[in-house]
Amino acid sequence: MSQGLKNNNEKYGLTRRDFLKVSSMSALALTLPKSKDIFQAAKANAAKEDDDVKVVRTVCAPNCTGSCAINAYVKGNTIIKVEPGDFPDPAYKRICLKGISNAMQRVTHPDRIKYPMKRAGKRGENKWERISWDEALDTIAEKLTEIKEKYGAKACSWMSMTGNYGINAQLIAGRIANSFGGTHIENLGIMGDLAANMAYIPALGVLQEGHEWKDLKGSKLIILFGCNYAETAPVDMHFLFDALEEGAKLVVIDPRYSRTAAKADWWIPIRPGTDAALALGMMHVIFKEDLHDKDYISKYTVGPFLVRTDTGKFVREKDLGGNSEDYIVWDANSNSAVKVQNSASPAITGSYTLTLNGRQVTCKPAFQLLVEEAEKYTPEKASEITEVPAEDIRKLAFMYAKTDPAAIRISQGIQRYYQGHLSFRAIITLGAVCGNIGKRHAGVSWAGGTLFKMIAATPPEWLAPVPGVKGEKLPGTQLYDFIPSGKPWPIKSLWLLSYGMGTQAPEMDKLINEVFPKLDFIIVSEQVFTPITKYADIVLPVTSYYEEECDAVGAWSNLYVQFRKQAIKPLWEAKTDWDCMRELAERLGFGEYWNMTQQESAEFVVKHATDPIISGTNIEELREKGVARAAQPEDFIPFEDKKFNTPSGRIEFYLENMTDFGEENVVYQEPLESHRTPKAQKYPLVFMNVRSVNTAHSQHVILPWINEVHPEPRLEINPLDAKERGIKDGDLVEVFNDRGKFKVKVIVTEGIKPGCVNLCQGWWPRHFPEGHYSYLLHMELNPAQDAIMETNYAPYDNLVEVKKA
Amino acid sequence: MAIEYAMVIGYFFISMAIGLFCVGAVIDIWKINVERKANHSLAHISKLAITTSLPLVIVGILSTLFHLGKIGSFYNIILNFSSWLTREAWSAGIFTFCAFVCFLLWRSSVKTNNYRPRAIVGAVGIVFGITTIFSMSMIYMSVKAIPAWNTDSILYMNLANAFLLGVFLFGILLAFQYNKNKADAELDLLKIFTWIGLFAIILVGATFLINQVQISMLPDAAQSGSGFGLAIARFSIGILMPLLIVIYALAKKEQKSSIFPAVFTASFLFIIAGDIMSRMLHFIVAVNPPVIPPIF
Amino acid sequence: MSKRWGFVINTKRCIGCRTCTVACKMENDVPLGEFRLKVLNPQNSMVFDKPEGKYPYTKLSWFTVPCQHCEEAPCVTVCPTGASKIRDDGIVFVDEDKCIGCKYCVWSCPYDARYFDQEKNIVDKCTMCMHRIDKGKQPMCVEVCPGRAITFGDLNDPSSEVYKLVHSNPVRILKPEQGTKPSVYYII
Repeated sequence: MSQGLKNNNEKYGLTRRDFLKVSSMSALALTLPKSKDIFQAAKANAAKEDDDVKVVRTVCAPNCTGSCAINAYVKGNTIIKVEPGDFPDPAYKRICLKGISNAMQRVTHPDRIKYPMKRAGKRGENKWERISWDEALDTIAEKLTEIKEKYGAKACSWMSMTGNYGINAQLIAGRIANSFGGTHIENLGIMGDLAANMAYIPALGVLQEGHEWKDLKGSKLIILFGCNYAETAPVDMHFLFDALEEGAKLVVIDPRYSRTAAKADWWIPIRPGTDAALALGMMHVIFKEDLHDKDYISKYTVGPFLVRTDTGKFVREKDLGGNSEDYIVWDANSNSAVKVQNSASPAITGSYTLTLNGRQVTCKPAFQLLVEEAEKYTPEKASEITEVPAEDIRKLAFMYAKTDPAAIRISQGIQRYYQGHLSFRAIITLGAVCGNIGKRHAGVSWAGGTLFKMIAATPPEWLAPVPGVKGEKLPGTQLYDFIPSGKPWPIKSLWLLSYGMGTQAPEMDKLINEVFPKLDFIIVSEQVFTPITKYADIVLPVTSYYEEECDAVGAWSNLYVQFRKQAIKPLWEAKTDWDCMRELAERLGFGEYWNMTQQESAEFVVKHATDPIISGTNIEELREKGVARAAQPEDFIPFEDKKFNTPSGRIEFYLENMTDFGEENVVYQEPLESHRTPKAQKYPLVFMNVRSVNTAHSQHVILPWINEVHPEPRLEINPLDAKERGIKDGDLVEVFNDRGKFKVKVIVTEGIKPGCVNLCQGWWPRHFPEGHYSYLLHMELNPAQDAIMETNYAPYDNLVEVKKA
Repeated sequence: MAIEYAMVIGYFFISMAIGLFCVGAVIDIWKINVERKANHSLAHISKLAITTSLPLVIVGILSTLFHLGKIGSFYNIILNFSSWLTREAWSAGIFTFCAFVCFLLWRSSVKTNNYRPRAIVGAVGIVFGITTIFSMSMIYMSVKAIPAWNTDSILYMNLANAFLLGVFLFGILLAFQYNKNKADAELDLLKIFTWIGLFAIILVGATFLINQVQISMLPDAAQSGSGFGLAIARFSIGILMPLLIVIYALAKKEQKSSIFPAVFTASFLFIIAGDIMSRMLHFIVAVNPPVIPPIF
Repeated sequence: MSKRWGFVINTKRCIGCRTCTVACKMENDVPLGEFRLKVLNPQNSMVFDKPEGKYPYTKLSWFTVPCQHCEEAPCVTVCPTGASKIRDDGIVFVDEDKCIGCKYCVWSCPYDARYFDQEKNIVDKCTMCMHRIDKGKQPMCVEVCPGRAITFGDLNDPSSEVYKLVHSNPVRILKPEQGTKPSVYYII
């Protein structure tokens, strides 16, 4: 020991012995395999390797929106601990309990699938026989070829979900389906995140957009609609706290007193699925009090565009006898209908009679129609729908319209209703009429990160690598119909990737008893045996994120692109989806188009992305540091230039294409199963199944450390509802509706709106004494949504009844 | 709090040993030093008491060791006098030593008819016995974090328990001795037993009352509802048999009773049950009040 | 003045996610079922968080409770072996070689910060990650906290972040009536 060190230690009261102990403890922390006896494999692996510990910067991305960088401390081939990895902006250096438990306990979980397995009993019996990769892939190739010959290539389908946020992993179903000429079952609708897209795309011309988190600092008011960031994006919460410490007021609108609501200045409990009515009620007050931004509306929205009241379509120049499709406005100066580009002061209100194609037609500016719609939603009327006191609606409207800058964030909570897209549209419109879209520290944000941008910008040549061959697409939400009916074409094989379908899909009864029996061949690629694997004919072991060679990972709400690097070699016989498909491709005869390594593929997806924001990412930096900012400046504000990729180039709160569905204007529609529907007579409680901080869907509930803080499912119920049913805290209850039932213990809490019950989702059937909540959820198609993109699965839009078991 | 059964058992044996030793030693001191004449019959009984207390205390000490995580390293405690646990260990050790010396001195006392050394060692033993119980109680009482422990009722309860156990065990020894050797006719067993019974009732009742009063004065958060039922049970059980003895003794007018040993054994078992209960009660009422201050 | 390491925990920034708890378990090999750092809800529990109050006027917050590293540590006073010690920089820790696992300190801790390690057969507790801070790193709970609720530093150093937080906010300590003088301060 050096003299200096010795003095130092004496100063701190350390004896030499203590010092040795302290240093040996720190050494221990680095060298001991951490996962203890429960995981024999990890220990055995650790024992085989030498003592070197290397630190690998990798990315944790289990579909939780974080995409946090992880520094994995690896000894031999075992992760002995993880720490947050570095980011160019230290604010993004972060980790959460899921990421830690995942690395330490899921990678080496006893339920990991170690080898390819062939079904040995009946489907559902969960009996398996170990086979080699060669046998597995040969069987698959043979079977797929057989189906192709019999029913056509389209009868083979692939579906990859979001269980692994890497681009290679997430989009591989599309790539292999396109190579084979098979069917790619799309996942956006069935994952339940599409309602937002279906509002953003028509209104703002993008799938999603959001202000970066750090932009919140400077907002004076933050309104969160259906966001529980404290649980769903815990690693981003510090940005929100920074904003609050700078003086922002936080309003949370949520039927549930979420952890985020617990941090709010004002919690507004709302009847589930009625956010559009609240937004319309707020607009009513804003219009009445003349608080809207008229200049903004007339310049940047379709507000001044004249709409024919007979057809509901925008008036075009050709309707007036011209020859262009140009939009027509009423010019207030000249009191005449002119092309939008020719009017300096277009009217945004009023009613005008125009002669169109020789007929007298009453036309109104789109904004006038919005005002008329909002007219119906007096605070009292909106209060009647939303169950938010009228006074509160007034107060909130004043707050939002008068506070500058005021930010709105919308998230998944309001997506999960049958009419979710209408809620999003109404809220976007609310932001637009107050001139908040494209303004610093304001905006209406949802997601906004590189993840969606990368998916949307996937190079077509990557997605369909085999020249002349292209597959078909079917929306995942229609799976329950097209597989049993065999229309529009028969589907005979289904290959599921990164999808915990056995817990995350709706109407489990129908899936198991009507969909699966129609399939000759089911393949599931998974990391662990999940509730769905038992229905597979072949189960293939997939690597965890830490074992992948490389993948490009986007982020939900920041503008960084990351490369996930390999921390440990694949355990047992696990393979990445990429390698598995590549080897299959060779067997199916298109191997030459699948010869990229994962690293090459990841680089290709970034370099050749169709969106310059992604393709402009510095690949060198990405390769070297594992992270680089997408080509977007640090102070980027979405829509700051007020340019929108919509047909009109403006914010379109009026959608002329939706007249068939009565949704051309911003409207409110009652959720499919709500307290106000006849079904509520029999099943009076709205059943939500929200996301908790403890697990990303079904991925983490099986981990011991997670179970210590999140031991079992508990149904949240208000004391009023509990008392009515004679239920006490901790009682076992039966939750049921016409689709199914399950049993669960209750937690009687004041933190939920009376008339609603909630169960934090992700639990597996094994966690319930009987049944599973997914049997109660419906997959009802929404024609209006199908017209925009595809139906969004609405898991919170359910009525149930609860009784003591 | 989880009940430490090794401690419950250990403390039970140690207390019983101390109680019994004290009874024996008091008889020694009283009969020998006050009356200044040796009474062989009584000396025999006190010898029995002291001899019995020796294995009991050793069993007790060994049993308490079993609540340690590392029994092999128990010697680490010997030099830390600031800790009540260390003090308790020393007291118990000295007490055991005294019991052992008393046991050794018996033969020489009879031979030389000099009971004085034994009485002196007995007195020292009593002091360290009580010190042991005091330290044992202080282990609980010094824990400020657990309000139910941080009261002097623990001391009263431990003292009462020790003497109940000791006196009743002594009663059994006496009853058996009486039945075996009718010659000790000078003992008015009925009278002694009546007194023992009354003594027990008063002790059990008083400790119960003091304990309940003290617990009820604690802040709500530190009280344990489940403890009260056990306390009532312990009280009833503790008081039932002594009461029977008193009633029995008062009703019976004649002396020769072969059922004395049976009655005493039964009541002793009840006293044991009550004692074990009260020691379990220590752990059950040991509520560390919430760390979290109320939000509202 | 010598160093006095301490935590300032901002409960306004705590979201009860218990990342600190899990990270601590990983860093310090804490056995299943035991915790060196608990995040307690209003029910004083690690699980099934419930707000207090009546709907819709409810409140919910958490207290992150590591060892409070008391200046007047009862655990150190009661320890019969001298295994529980306080370093000059204020860190209270257990000397593994001396501890015999009598659990006296476990009972004496008003903050329930100690546990009996069934594998090592001794009592163990938060060491403020002294193996990390001696190398100039932050304790693991501070390193990982998603809400950035935990600040670590020298309470005696006026230039440190913790000193500033303690002196610029109304802070409180847990169970002041115990007279333990903790090194952990809470901003409520």
